Amino acid sequence: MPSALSRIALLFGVLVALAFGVAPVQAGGSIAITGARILPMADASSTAIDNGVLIVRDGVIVAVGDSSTVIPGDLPVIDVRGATIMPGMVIADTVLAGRHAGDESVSGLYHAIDAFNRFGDYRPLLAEGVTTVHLNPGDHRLVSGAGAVVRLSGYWNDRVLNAASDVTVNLGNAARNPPNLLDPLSQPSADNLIVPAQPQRPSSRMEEWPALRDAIEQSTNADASAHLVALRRLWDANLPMRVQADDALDARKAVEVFDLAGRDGYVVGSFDLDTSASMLAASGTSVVFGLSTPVRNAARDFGDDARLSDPDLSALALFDADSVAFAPARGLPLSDLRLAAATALRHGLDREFVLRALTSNPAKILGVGDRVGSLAPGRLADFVVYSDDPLSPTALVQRVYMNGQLAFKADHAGSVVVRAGTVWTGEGEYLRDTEVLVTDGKIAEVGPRVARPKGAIVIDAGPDAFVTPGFVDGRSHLGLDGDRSATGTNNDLSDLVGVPGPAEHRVASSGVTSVVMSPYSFGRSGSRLSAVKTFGEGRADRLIRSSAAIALDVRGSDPITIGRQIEQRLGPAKQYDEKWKKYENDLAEWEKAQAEGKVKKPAEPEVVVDEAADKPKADPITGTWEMRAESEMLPEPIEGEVALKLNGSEFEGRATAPEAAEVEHRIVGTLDGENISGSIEIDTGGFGTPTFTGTVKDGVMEGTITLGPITATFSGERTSTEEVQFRVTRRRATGDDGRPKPPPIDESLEPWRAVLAGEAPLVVGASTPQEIDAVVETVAQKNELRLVLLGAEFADTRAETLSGRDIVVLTSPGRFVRRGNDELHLPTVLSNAGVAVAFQSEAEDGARNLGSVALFALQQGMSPSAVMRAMTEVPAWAYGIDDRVGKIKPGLDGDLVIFDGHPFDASTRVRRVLINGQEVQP
Amino acid sequence: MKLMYPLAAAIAVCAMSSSTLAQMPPSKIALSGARIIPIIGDEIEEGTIVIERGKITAIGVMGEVDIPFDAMEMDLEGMVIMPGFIHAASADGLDRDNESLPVTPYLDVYDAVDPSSLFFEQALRSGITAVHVIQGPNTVIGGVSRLVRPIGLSMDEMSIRGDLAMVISTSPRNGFDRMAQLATLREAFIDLDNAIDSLAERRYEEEQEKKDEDVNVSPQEARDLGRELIRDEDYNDGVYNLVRLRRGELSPWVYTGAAMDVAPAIEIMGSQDVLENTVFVVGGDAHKASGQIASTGRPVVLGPNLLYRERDPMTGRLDEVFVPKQFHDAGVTFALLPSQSGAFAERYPTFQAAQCVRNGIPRQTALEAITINAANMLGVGDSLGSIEVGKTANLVVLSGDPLDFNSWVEKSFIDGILAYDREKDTRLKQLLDAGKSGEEEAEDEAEENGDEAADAAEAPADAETGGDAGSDGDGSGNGEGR
Repeated sequence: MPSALSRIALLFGVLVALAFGVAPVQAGGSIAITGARILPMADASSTAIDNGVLIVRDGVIVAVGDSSTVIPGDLPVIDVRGATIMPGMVIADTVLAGRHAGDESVSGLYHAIDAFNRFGDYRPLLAEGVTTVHLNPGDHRLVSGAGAVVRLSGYWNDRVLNAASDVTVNLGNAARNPPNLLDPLSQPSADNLIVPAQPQRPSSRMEEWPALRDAIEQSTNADASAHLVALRRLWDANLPMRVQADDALDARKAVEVFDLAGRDGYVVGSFDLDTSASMLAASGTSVVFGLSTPVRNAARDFGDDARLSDPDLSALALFDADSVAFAPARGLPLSDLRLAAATALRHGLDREFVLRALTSNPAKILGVGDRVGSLAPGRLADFVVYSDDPLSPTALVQRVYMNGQLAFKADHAGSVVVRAGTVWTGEGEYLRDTEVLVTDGKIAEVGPRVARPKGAIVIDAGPDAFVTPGFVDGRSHLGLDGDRSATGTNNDLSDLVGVPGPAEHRVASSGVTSVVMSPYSFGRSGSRLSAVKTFGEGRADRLIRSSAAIALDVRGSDPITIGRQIEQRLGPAKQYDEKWKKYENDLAEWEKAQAEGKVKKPAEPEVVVDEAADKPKADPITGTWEMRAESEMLPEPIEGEVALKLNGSEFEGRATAPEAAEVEHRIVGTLDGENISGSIEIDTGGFGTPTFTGTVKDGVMEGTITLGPITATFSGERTSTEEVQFRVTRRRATGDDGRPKPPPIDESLEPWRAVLAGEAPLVVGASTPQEIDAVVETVAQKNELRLVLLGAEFADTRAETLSGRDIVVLTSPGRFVRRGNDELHLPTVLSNAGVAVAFQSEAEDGARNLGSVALFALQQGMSPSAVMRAMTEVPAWAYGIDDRVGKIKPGLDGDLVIFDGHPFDASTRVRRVLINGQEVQP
Repeated sequence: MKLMYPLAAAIAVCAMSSSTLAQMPPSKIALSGARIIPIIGDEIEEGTIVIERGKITAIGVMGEVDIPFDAMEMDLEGMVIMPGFIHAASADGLDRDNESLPVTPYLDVYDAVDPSSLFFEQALRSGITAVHVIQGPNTVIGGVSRLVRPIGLSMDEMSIRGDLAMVISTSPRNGFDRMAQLATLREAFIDLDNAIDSLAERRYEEEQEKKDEDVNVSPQEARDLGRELIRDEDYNDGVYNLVRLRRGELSPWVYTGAAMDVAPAIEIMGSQDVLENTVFVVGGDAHKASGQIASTGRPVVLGPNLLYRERDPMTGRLDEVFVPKQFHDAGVTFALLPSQSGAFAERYPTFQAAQCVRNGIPRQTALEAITINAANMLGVGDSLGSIEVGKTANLVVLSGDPLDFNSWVEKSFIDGILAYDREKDTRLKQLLDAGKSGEEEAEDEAEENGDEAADAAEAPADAETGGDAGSDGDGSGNGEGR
């Protein structure tokens, strides 16, 4: 049998084995992270690396460097542009393990690691940027046991960095009055009496050291208790002493204890630094300082109590740069630590000092600095991706990597913040150093500093970046897939819109976020144009307006007939519109009357006969039914034959009542799956109309008939599926209560209503000056409709008319017209003359070139602001979709294009595109 | 009035138990015609089992097995014979699950098992023919366990094997946290070493005294010399049981109520060199540590609740995990426990096994989990847990497939004795009758007849009525089962 000593050694040996990962270790991730500002915290000289590269292999960092660092080809690359990467925070004091439940004032048997859940889900802590914590066995006993250092995610066996990291000694108040110790005997006897409970030491500050010293000395005795035997093991393993102090006196006492015990150690607590810092600093002692912040109890008053004061952290500067760590003061939520640390900057501590106190310093003090707390080759790849500088109050934890594997990713909760050096809002101004907040797909705020909703994605595009509204292509064939047929006003092109394909993706990535879909050629009575986004999850996401305009082409017609042609189109549309206007008026009046309680008596229904009978089909209803109805209220069951006919979901039928064989009663009802409901039109002499509900299945019908208080059950069997011919009747739309009924919808006239209401324009193709004159006269002058001119070759000759009437000319950015020997660049000429110009691509995925072609317009002398307007706000305004797109303004859609420089520099490229706040993935 | 009914029932069950034992079993029995599911070996569609003096002596296809001329033949056509189910861990036969002291290795369940506990009767009724009685998990180190038959009037009569296992828990007992729990456990082993040391020293001194020689060595040397001199009778019960645990004579059944309790269990059992005998009794989210347990190669006993629910800390979503599947996928051998306190259906080992099959575990594995696996964990796999020639004739006869919930236990044989016969199950009949005629009537009857209840139960059974009432009886059985 092995000796007692070797068994105990084994007991602790396993702890040590666990600490150094003898058991199987799961391989970590291998990735390369690029684009972020990296704060390595590695050694005193290491500074922030802008646009850095971090390379991780099997969970271990292999390289940290600038953008020139070579990325091995086999690694997946994750680009976190604009983010800041810092090592995961190491918190050297937490209450995660709780206090052990034992009574012993001095014991080495309590291990904080025993209270650690290796399988626990600590994402709420990871979400605060914390990846490594110290666990202590409690602050309530002089020696409460052994602490431990653990990581908060990863394979269970990788989580424990040090299972026994220190001997935890408490010099605070809680440790000074331990309870009396009762050692119950399992088998007491006359020889082995139960002894009374023994008082324990210390009972005062004075007795703390003697009690500790005696315990250490007695631990070698042969009759030492298991608690002291265990303490001896910890002591002999030369673990550092961790002294938890309540106040400055305890902290200074700690230094004496290190001296007397001849041990290294560090002090933990939140104590007055004025009276302790110089002594602690002079002795070279490290401090884990508990930070607090008044944010959670701002109303705490000191009153006249002169002993209280706000902590002054400036004294921490007396310590060596690597011997101060920050932890949350007892009671401070871990989530407030970063804010508390940031406010420490106000005490004059420098940024580097504060950041190190959260990462590399605690790691070093806990003895795990060679594995966590900094980013350098050989260290574990535990790091946090922040949206911003970690000490910025608005910085958010976006991702946490442990062992090079994604351990936490923030839900972005629908918010994106874009920050750039220049933002062109379309409000006629360039804003410098501006941020745009997009929430739930809409722009919520534009300004130098915008809110950071929890979980927001922050895209810091940098000082050189330039943000514009998403481009609007004034006329495109995107999504038609080469279908060149003309469409009418009843064809809704937006029906073609669905999940974006590669063509849409190419266009969206180029910065063109909206297009006005147009057929290649227009129908004789006009075509309907639809405005859609180029990216989104589906049609609902992508649709801006299905009737964005009606387009006609009058080119080549006799100018004299143009007016009449257009009026011919407008005539029926106006009539249709009038009907609707009347209905709307009637309805408004009726509603008013109803509100005032003056609703008309129900009108007699007028029955008309529809001669057309539907073709017979096999369906669950149509045919002849033998019906039987019975009820307690009826003297005898009613039996009869019913002929039914289903038309869509409505059915109609004729029943023959037994007592009046020749009179047919009309039955109308609806079929919903297997459920039927409806009414029987029968003269009941003022009792109302019987209604029925029931089910029909496999030729059997069952249900109940209700007439006032009377109910009867009915059942029936289909005897024939042959359709019985009877005249189908329809009820004319005169409601029972006089409520006006809407006129029937005419799909081909419907889009005109938006045009007539001035919400959408009429797009008219016109070329010659005469054509233009005729169109302008009919459309804009006579009918006062919004007008967009297409083609408009000679628009320059009518510039004065056009500019005075808010008429938009749609043209390609590279359009030239010949005037004699000169070639004029039409957009330039028009815009210089004050005519509103909107650009069109007239292409499918060729729309992606709209931005590049705009450069050409610039080259031809068009003003940059006019070019920008021609791709954003002018087309948006022209189609009446300026309440959704075209500008960067709160309330509009979050469609943003981020350039890496001025959009009109030749070298500038589109970096990122957001549509409805969703980034178009490259 | 209410008191009378259970009393009458208790008398009835005593009458039943004693009558079965009082009969001398026929020395040879042949069970023919049933489908045999032997667990080890192929199923036999229509087979014969021959039992001689409590042991299985032959198994085979009906007609191909020689039946001794003097054997009592039983026709079980249409039924299914399985090895009797084994309840892998139960504290229900004890008056209370655990002592108030945390460390009690000196205890033996022998002293506390109540043979008249209704639990045993219910166990018999659900096809269990062996119960491992072990203390509950609310302890640090508990007492020694015992495998018993659910029949018999005294502990000696019931006992199959004692000195099997010792319950140890790494999950905190009431009033403890994990640090205190594990500190107490480690302390117990340190104290054990200290006790052995001082005993060794004393023994050396005693021997020296016998030889009239002086003790002239250091205490440490005395301990080393005296260790060889310790005789088993020198130990007190607590120390002796822990010594036997270390020697491998008792296996540690370690309760790990959470995944985080598995690592300390492995660590501490490893430090005592007893990991190779350890059985993990798991609960809570311990399935998360199934890989860790698999690496030890040791089996687990699963708690009765097979579904684990957990809320995601970030999203608040409730996730469900079917625990046996996790262990099965990790390659861990497991035994299923029926529940005594849970839903009615979960009291049947067959229902627990059926749940496993329903959730993707092979049928054979599920059936092993209520038979042979527990036998192997308890070291009685050579005599129990399967139908093989030479094994003890502990058999259960079911009316149909074991995983069909419409099947019920018709008969049980323990050591070749007909230990349970549904037709003679007086309490079941009473419960079913009460369910049919209304409770008041049954109670009135019980009050009037008093002792006669037992006689009434002797009346010839109507098998069909009993069968029909099987499902009707659920409600009343639920109320009266325990």
